[in-house]
Amino acid sequence: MWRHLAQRLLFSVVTLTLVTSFVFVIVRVIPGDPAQTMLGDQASQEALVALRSKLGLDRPILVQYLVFLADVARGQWGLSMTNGRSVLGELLSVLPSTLELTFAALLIGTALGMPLGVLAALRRNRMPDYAVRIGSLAGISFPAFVSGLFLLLAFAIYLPLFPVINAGGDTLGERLHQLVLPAVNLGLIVAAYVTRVMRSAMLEVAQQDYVRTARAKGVPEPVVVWIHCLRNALLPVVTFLGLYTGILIGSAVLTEIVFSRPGLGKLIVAALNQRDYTTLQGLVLAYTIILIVINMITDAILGLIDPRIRHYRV
Amino acid sequence: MSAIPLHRRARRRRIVLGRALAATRQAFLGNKTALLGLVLTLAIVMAAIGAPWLSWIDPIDQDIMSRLKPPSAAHLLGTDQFGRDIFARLLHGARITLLIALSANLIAMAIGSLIGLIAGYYGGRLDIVLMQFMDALLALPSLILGLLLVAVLGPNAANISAAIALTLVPAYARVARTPTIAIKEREFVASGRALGYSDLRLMFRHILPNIVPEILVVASLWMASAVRVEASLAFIGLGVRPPAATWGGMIRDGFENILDGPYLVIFPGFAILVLVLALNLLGDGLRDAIDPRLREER
Repeated sequence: MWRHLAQRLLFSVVTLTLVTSFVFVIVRVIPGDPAQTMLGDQASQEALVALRSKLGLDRPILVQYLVFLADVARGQWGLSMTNGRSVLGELLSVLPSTLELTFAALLIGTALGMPLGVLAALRRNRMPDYAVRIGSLAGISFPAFVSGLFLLLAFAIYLPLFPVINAGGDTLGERLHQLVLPAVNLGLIVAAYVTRVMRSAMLEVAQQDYVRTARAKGVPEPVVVWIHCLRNALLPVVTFLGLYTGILIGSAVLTEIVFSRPGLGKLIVAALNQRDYTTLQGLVLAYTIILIVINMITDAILGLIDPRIRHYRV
Repeated sequence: MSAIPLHRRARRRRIVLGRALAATRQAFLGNKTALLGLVLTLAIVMAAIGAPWLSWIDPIDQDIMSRLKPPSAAHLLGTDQFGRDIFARLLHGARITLLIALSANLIAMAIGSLIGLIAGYYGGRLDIVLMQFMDALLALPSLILGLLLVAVLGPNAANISAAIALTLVPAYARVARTPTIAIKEREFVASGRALGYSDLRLMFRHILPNIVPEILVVASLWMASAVRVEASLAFIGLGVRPPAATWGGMIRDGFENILDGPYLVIFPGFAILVLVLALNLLGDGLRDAIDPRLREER
């Protein structure tokens, strides 16, 4: 188990280095001069040169890259090129909001998706199965911002149950109230995916030899379904959730824009518009680290559920 | 060498292929939801192709006198904040969306399948390096990666297609690699190698045709995700530049006037939903139709 995790960690470091290099290169190719953007069109040549050297933009790109890697490793993610605030600080201040939304969505999605998936598998090719399958296919077909807008129209504008602008409340009650629509929006999409994965995993497991053996030796049907099948069918679902959380944070970005929530989404859009290289770098870096952590957690959970993985030696 | 003359071997192969196709077609046509997906997809493609004839109003023509008008006889689906006809813009938007999704998938399919084929065929260190690189690319979700790339390259149809293609390359590489590994161990590949066929010939004449079904099935599903990413990019403001009509861009504009006219976001929202749903239905149906045959083969 530990060796397995260590190996994954090593791969993660490789991935992280590749992603950072990739982003570093991409961000440098963005047309437009950040010094010009920061100082405006009226800036004098001297001021531009001074700012470029202050930001290190006049040094060779390789030096910039090495300095960047060293700084990243030391936790110095630089200052925003547009407002001079610490990138890491800025990220950490909006991250909780995005994570709050993401985890609420995961919670809703699994709580709704897993039972529906099991139901569809147990009632295969009957009414409940068709209904669940069509519903989940519709769910995965909604881009997060379209479903978000529909929810916003229905439950914030026509039926004003929830606020249209969600700028962050002071009390816990307000925060939760504002979280409902965005979280339900993302949660329904998650549920759609989870249902599909759960259903096919259950159907797959039901065909295994050990399930037939369990039935043959007279294990009661509920035990077969809930212990033998479900536990094994959880594996692909957990793997899927691990992979999907990354995509989910991407959809969270769109949802945040629709519901005017503070978070990574707003930061990304602002950084893109203002060519804020350092913030963009920091964003992608933070993003990759989150994904790596999620992957590690997923691996650990899989190990807990399945002894075959825990004792697996490579 | 086999004693059967070449042309007879070719005919026999055609018959085998024909039977497999017939079985697949039957499975597909027996699947009502898959058929619905096919019909809807074809309808949208036809509407996109026939856009100039289906609506004679110019999609970028501004009619200042009739701004933000709800649906009427003059403007079937109403007008936007510049008085542009929404029906015409939807039709023309379909062209951009389909064009971008299709070209992104074709580019990604060509590059990704090639990488997967090479990685799976040669294996070993090359496989590890290539796939590690693909995994790193896959680690970034398509939206974030697409966002960065389009911001760098500038929002036009070619760049958006390229950015979406890049996000799909690792996925196609994975799909191509797995069956390649299984098929390269098969007897017909070994015999080909014994006959002294080159690696290129084995890869492209003997392995590639066998992995095409797998690739085509995911293609329709990833057409759906390309449509979604394109719409999302346009919604963020990284779509094909205005005044050209894109569905995501129409929603972006409509969002600002959502209180004046909810139809501004509802119509393009439904357009995206129907197209993505149709492609997903189609892809699911194709997968179900092709899958048993593949299982049988292995």
